[in-house]
Amino acid sequence: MWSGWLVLLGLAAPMGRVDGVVTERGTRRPVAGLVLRLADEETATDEAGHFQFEAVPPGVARLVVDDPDYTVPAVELRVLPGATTAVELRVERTSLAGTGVRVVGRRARVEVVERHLDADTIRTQPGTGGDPLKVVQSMPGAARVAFDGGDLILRGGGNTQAFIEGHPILSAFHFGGWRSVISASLIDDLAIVPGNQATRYGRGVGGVVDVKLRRPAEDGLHGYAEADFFDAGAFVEGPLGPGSFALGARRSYVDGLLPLLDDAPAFTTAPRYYDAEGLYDVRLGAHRLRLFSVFSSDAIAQVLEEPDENDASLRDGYAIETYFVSTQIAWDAAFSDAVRHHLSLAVLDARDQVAVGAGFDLDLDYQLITAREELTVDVVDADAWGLRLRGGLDLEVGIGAYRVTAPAIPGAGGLATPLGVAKPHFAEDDGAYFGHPAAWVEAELRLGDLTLTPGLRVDHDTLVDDTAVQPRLQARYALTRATALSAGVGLFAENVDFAAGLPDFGNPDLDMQRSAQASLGVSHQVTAALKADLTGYYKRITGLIVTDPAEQLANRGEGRAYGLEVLLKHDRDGHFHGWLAYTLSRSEQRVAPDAPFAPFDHDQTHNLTLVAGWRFDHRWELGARWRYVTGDPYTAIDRATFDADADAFVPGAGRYNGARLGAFHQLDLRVDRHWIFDDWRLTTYLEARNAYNRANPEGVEYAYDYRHQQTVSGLPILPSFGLRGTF
Amino acid sequence: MRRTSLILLAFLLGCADDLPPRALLDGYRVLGIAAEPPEARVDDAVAVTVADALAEGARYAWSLCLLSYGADAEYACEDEPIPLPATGPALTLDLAALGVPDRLDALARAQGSDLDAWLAAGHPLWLVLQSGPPDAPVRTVKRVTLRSAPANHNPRLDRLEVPADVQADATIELAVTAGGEETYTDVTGATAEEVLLFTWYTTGGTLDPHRTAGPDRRVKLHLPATPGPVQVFVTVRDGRGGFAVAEATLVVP
Repeated sequence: MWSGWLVLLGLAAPMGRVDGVVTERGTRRPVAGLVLRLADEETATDEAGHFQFEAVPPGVARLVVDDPDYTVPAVELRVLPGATTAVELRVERTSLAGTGVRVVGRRARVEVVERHLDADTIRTQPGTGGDPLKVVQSMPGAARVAFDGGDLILRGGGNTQAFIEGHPILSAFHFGGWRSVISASLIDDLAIVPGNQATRYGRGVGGVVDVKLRRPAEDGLHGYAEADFFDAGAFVEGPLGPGSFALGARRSYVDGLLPLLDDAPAFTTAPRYYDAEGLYDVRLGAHRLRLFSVFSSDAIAQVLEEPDENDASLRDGYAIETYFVSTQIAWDAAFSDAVRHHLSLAVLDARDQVAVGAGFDLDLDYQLITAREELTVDVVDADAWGLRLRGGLDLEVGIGAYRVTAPAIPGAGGLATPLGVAKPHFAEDDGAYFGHPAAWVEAELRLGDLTLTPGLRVDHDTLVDDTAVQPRLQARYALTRATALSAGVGLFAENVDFAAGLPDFGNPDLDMQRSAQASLGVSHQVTAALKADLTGYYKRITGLIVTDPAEQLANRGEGRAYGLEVLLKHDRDGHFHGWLAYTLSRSEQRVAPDAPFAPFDHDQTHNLTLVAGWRFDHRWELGARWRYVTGDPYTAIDRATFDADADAFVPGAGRYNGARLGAFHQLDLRVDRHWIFDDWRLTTYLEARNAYNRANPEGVEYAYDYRHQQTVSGLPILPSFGLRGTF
Repeated sequence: MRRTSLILLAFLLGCADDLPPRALLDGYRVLGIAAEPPEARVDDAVAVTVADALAEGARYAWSLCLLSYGADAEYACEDEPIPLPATGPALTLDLAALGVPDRLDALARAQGSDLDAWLAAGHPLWLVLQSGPPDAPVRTVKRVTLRSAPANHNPRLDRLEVPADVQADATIELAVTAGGEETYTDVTGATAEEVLLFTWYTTGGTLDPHRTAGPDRRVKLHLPATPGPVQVFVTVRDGRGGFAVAEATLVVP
């Protein structure tokens, strides 16, 4: 204070000024809200990380950062009278919380159960190599898939659909289950709805997995380069014009490594995949536009030295080449606080070429166009009650050309027979199409602690000319501030797969499979970090498509699934985060009304997953996942017929899915280490899948005449190493 | 596509196969069934002979199915199968005497078609053989395709070449001379040429490979270390019902 008077009186040197910016080491992102002290003054950084001290006595001053979440070396400034001293501070984040690790089992307002995983949780999940969709298998209601495959199976039978922002991903994995075509880089959130989904979703009687995209960085150019055992990729994002962009690409190098291995199989085209994705996101006032595109390509080919032992048609070799590019554009608009609008259009162009020996040849060139038009209107939004109306159109059109030589498609209850004995069909078309128009509407009525959401969805399938009317109801009641009940009941329908509706391979007289589903759940916030969820469900499927000797495929079957899902999760509030996911379930089907029920292929009575992460400090983290899952059912083969023309033994099935593999249990471990530099950070991880090297039974292999068999074990202990440099 | 990933895994990891190899004959085995001719008219007589190995004491029971559900239903017969009186490894299928033309015509009409249409497209009859030792019988099916204009013929297996002198625990080469490949119209409507498929068997030692196709007509046989006779067989198929077999016996000194 005295110094100010002295300046006014001209008896002291003029005051100095300090102007600075604070960014985080490693990421270069501005740090907002950081409290700094200089001399007796105190200030905080703004959103851009800027701070100012207006009147600082000349001389040496000590700048102190006063925030327990950050460390910064002591900074001594020489403040010159009447001048501005510029400071650029790099602070290192040491907080163990709040870096985005979030595992939530939150209940959305509409869905009875909607579980979410964020990108950091996905990336550091042990046993998945950071694969965004394989993480789904660690959540309640999701079946484990043999050989670490990536198939998505929620609550037993029925087709589980994968979406990106509401638009279907037809081939979510490279090579059908090897690795997701979507990287975790652009994912903001992974929404998992295991069943009883709201009317926005349709065309399937299984669950839904919807990838939500994040906005690319707007605060400067960022990105990374990464590599692991299987592939390498790079990603860059930043502001561009009025919006922000992101571009990423990845390519596998298994084809480069295989020749280095002794006894490696000789491929004509060694297995390789690559993918790329791009996103542009712009906000213009109350409008938001998003353009997203993803590309994927897989190829593998091998010449077989000799025909298969039991199937002479499997000779010469096989070749698989697939690609797709999907582009979607979305427009969101808030016309007012009460009226919001969403319109999105996606165009997928794909080609699948698969040739296996002399018995299977497929060349499918197709386009899938999907469009979503959604309108949300808040009619009343008072404290005591509220009414929100939602509705929309959901259109899917497929067009394409195919040329295929193949046996008929097996339905539920069918047993795979050697290709050489199956009657080959041939079909060619240069203008096939199908349409799946749908409309939906729902009203979200809030009456104090009770929220009711009745809705109606109508789907039509032009391929089989079938219409399904599906009323649904969701309800939620807040018992206390910490405890809520939720329930849902409704009807669902699943479109007939395109190939299954073709006369040569399936049956054009099929109908859509129907399902009635009900669920009831309770959630309780035990502590600030600990939350428990318990959900019971029942699902009945009618018109299940099964193999039929006369019609090839028929809607003669039915299925049912019921169970209990438990999710006990602990958010990170210090060193620890983790969750327990347990599902007790039964899912079964029968191929005719008078046939006995048999388990679905992935009926897993007990499915327990324990996930734990321990962050020692901001540089070291240890993660573990342990799973125990009841073995999958399978159909034992107890006899065979020798087809003298095909020179192949044709299996005769015992009771459908009447046998069961032994239980699966496995521990996966992962250690992450971060090195933080001024402008970038290096993250390395070491992962050990199946850490105690258990020989988990994953299938049964038979001798040529099916009189002898042996169990096929899963992957042995599999160490994996990866690194990522982020700027 | 899931099957694709499993195939990939199997190739990348390698499969430890402890199951018995198909090429080793260690008990009764049906190697194939020859029908002469392999395609016939609806009132022809067809000579049928089973090619089997280690068949001492084997019993044979034959039946004929006019309409089958095929492999997906384990070749179950849609109509009543016709039992055949033969009890040995060979029989003559006298289609006219069995009343096949009339019975097939009735079946075709019952399914809304007619016999001429069936014969124009080619209609398979299914021979079902139950054979082998009584305690472990083998069920075998064999198609005899009926056509208004039969075209296919059995391939020729001219000679199975084996070395004159062999040594125990040594590797020898076997070769076969065969022919009779024909052209035909495949399921896509295109003209295709038959690819002959050879399957090799031995009663001792190991064969590499077990199957060959097309121009590959040689295999290696690693003989057993113990002395004694070793029978080798080779069968050839044209992929359209044509079949032939040849055998030779080696004596390991």
